[in-house]
Amino acid sequence: MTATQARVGAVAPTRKPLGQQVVRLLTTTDHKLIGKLYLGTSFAWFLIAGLMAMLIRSELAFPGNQVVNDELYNQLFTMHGTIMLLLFATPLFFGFANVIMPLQIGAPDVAFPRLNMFSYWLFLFGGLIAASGFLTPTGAANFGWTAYAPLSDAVRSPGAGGDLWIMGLWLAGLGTILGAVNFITTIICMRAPGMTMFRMPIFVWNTLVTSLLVLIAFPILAGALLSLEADRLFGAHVFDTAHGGPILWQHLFWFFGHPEVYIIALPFFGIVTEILPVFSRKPIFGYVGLVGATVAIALYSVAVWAHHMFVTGAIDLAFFSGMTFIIAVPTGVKFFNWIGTMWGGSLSFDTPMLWSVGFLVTFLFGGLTGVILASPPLDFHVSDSYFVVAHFHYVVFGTVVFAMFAGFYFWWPKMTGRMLDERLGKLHFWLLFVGFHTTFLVQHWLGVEGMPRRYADYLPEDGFTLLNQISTVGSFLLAASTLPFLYNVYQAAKSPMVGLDDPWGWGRSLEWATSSPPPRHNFVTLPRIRSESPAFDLHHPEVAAMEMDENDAEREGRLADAPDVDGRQEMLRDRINTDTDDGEGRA
Amino acid sequence: MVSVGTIIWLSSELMFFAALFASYFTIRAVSPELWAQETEKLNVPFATANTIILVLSSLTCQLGVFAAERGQAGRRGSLFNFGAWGLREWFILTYIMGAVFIGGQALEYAELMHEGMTIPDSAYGTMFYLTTGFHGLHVTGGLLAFLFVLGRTYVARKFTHEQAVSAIVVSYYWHFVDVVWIGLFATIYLIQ
Amino acid sequence: MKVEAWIFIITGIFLLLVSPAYWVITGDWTGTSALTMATLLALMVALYLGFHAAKMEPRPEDRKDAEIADGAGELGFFPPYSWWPLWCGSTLAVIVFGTAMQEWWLVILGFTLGAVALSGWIFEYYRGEHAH
Repeated sequence: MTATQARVGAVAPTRKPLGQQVVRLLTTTDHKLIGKLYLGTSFAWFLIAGLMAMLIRSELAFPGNQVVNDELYNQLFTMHGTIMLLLFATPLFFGFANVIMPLQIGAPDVAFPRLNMFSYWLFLFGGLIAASGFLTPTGAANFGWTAYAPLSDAVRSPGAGGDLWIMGLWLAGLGTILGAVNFITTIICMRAPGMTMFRMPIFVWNTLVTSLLVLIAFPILAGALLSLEADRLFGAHVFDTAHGGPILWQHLFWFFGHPEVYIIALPFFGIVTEILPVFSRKPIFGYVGLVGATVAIALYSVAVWAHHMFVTGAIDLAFFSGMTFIIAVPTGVKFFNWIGTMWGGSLSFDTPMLWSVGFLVTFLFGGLTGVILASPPLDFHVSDSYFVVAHFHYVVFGTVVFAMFAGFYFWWPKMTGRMLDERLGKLHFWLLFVGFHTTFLVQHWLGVEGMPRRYADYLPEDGFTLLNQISTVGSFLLAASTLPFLYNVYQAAKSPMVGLDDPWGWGRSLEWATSSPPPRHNFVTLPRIRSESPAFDLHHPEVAAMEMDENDAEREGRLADAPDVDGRQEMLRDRINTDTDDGEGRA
Repeated sequence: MVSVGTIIWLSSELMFFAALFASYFTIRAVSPELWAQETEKLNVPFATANTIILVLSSLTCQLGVFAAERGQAGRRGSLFNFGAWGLREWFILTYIMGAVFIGGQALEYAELMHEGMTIPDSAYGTMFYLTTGFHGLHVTGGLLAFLFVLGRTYVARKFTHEQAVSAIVVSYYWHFVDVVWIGLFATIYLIQ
Repeated sequence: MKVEAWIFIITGIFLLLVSPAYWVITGDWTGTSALTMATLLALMVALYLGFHAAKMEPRPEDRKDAEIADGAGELGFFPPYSWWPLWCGSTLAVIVFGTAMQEWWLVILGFTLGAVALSGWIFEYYRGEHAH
């Protein structure tokens, strides 16, 4: 793992001896390095869980048992889900937010640097403990990532694997909570002067709102996990069937689980929102609308949890179905604003933009099947089938993985000072895009035809064989797409430094106003902040002035769906006048 | 900054207890006979006395914070001149009261176990020990925090602003744990 | 700080509406308890931030016309590096691992070493060259 971390970041301009580098990694309090540790570790988990997925797909390529036995299959899909959601997607948010958010608000670090590192260790050790079940004689947890009672109790799932899973996730979850506390405090207390709330980049807004969701969701999981462990270790009766314990577990789990879906979606919406304006050469369209939509999605996500429980018959269908339909509205607002940002812009399809558009397409599919699943009569037919598997892979892979690579290509020069190769990046994108859709599109039909999820086998007479084989071929293509990326990373480490604050030329938010990579406490000088795009105002005052000229309502402070721009015009005028003398800051 | 972070973290702790409250109320709603039978074993007057001690300890803790805000670590008069007490004296008193509360709870546990109420015995025993037990762990954590604040005042020669802040955030935590206990006490002993 | 407080106020108002509605419609204890506590979470932070926002002058980051120089001065305390997060994290991991494996000697060991590690963290800037 250390190798991965060293590769992803920490390429200091002057090479230090290995021992010193290791000590620096172990003791660092620098948010950028901690962020890179998060990114590297979560990417390593992504690769591990991806290999598990390939085993699963291999097993399903033909009827009968070929690759793994039923027990190992159960362990594999359990750990695949657990790792992808809790040890990859969630800490990936912490990685990006750690590296980028303090830069975007002009802070020298996060509020509590030592706590930040502590959170990382809890995530690392918690993840290792949760996965260490594979080393025990009875194997890892095998009750699905949802750990439904009574399957997850000591009688039906004996063995240490389940206990390690529960306690490991509790530890990692504690790290997540502390990290969220750190982010909220940083955003409330450490913004640069003039960086009012309505001048913060959308990514920072989404980090704030996501952290708020973490505060609501993760402690519930912690309480439920410890209760489950008490049931297993001390013979407690919290989730006994005698008094409806299984439904109690499902309520608690999904009260955490549904906000968790948005915890791993909102930050990645934020990443895409940062990228679209830069490669459309236009300011973000509908800034306040995007903030409002983010807050609305987060709030509604707290009140829709039991749509995962439609088929239990124990919940109010109308309440949860209605709430779930409503949540499609703010999500639609976001799509409208993303399209509006690109509309009429001067688009260029550099890799970050390509990945962002890939996100828009993929996530749209997942959103549409989500509306289908929100309707109870339709859900009854496809619940726990491959239709649901296809749906959540479109949603989660569409947001997390597409936006992750978008963010990697976009911020790689900021994080390491070196560019990733564009041609390899495009190869990577198209391999992954085709591979992903080949794998998961056909699974919608598999589900409609009645193939249940989590089954290790099916009969030749079921007629699932062909579609499963298409899916398996697609998954290998999808996996192969990682190779050009890894080679790209290797090659980039040897490429020359970009030496520019803003290698993309049209960067808008504050991270593009410091060197690449930034110094220890991020900024030597900060520019004056009078809008949501201070770096753009600094580098291209004359273009920013043209943008202002085109938007009367924004400029005159009337009701406009735009950030705070008081004083921006005067600042731009000053800059244009002095700039004609020295030409400073031109890209 | 430290106090903002503490408040935000404490707010998330509410959700940890939310999971426990949710389990308690859900199981109680489906097993009224079990509750009727088991709650008779509770010693309400004893628990009330214990609760009063914990609530009063919040008061002494706050008096310690007032001393910290004055920048006064130690007492200025004799030990019996309460008005002249500093942070140390008030926090030591708070610590003792918190420790008495924990001791009282241990006594109560022993009594109830003697009457046959244990975690594996019934769902009531499970929820009683889980809710009060996790709260007890939080109180113990608070006691540890008092030791650290006191330790800092003794290790450093000067009483700094940072020390005052740590006294304040520990008092936030203590008040929070106290309020959660009032909720638990009302749920378990009053509403039963 | 007013906008920050408003985010939590809005969250609180939303949950204040949803929680009773949920109880009336479903009569479910689990969800109602969780929603009620989430309401208290939002209101608790809203109250704290709102109280401070009302009491103090707008900070430079709250003012639309602030200059970078307005934020000059000490911002906070940023340790250059620290070993203690690693020790605290690993001792806590030992406790958790010991619990899962029911190896109680590991738990005891973890607590003992953890107490040392936590003291190290708390007193990191009170000892040695930092003593004051």
